[in-house]
Amino acid sequence: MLISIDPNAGAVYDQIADAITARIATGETVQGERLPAARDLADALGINVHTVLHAYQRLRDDGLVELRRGRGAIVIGAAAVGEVRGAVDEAIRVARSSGLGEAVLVALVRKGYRA
Amino acid sequence: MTRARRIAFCVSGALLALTIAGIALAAVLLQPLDQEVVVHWDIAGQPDRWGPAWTYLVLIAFVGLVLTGIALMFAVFRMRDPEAVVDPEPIALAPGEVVAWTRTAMAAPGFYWAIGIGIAFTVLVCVVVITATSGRGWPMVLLPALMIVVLGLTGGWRVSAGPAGLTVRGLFGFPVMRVRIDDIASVAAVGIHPMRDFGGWGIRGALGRGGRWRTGVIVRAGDAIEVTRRSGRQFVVTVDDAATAAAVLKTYLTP
Repeated sequence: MLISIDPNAGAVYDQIADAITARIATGETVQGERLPAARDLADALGINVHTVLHAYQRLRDDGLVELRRGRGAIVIGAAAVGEVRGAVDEAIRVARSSGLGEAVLVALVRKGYRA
Repeated sequence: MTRARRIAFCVSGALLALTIAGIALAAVLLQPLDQEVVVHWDIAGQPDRWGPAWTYLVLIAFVGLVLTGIALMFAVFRMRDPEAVVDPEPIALAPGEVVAWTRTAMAAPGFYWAIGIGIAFTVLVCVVVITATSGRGWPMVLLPALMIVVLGLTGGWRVSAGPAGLTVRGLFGFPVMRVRIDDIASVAAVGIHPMRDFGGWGIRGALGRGGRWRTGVIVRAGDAIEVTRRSGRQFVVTVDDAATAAAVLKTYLTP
């Protein structure tokens, strides 16, 4: 698994979780696939294993993966991501054509989701 | 004829000579050849079958010729040419971006089936021997136990490449082998033939081109990451998508 993050653009665990979410959205990582062991991703990125575990916990809290002791992190939310992605793409298209910036869209999504 | 085939040819010649010498020696030592000798022992070590002495000559000839034939096969049949060496392009990074790669290296399922059947057979032999010797043969259990441990430690690997360098871990998390990024002089993706390049599978050492020492972590034939250390020694690990891993490492090489 090739992963690309930008440690300056926010918390590293958020970056890892976002990168994996993006992989699920594009279909590079599929339903039922086992994510690399946290130890291995930590080896690859040259970071602490707990940072990767933190990212996996966020993915679990977001309903994207299932964490099982001894079996690692299994992707369970691929279909849901696929569904939502279509709606999000549509929202982005509308925002773009009305000249709204990314931050507006993010703010709307955040506020709407928590309500 | 390649060097490997010449060596195989010489080995087959040596095996043939050894077979003939063995037959001659046995023929002299076992005179007269039609006397009755022990040809089989039971599990407890007591002789239970007798036959003419020339049985041993036939046995030596058979084993010797089979081994000679195997060596000759390596000399006669050309092995496939090595696959092209890929010299990867480093990945273009945005400012602050970090790329990393990780993957599990496994052999073909048939490989594990074959080894599993081998272990099951050994367990069966163990049970038979231990019951036949009413427990005195218990150290036999060490054999399948050792096979399982070796399979677990070297049967598959977790390979990681990134800004820190290359890390290779066994399936249980150990043994761990690392090549730090500032110890790497160059990296490439190469095609590996386990027999030709390393003489087999597992953790291997061999002399590569130009007499350089190569350490290999080999589970199958095909794509492999090859890193050359600053000392000139090489480290090779067979894993799918090796070209991507090599590109990631190349991104972080310092001249």
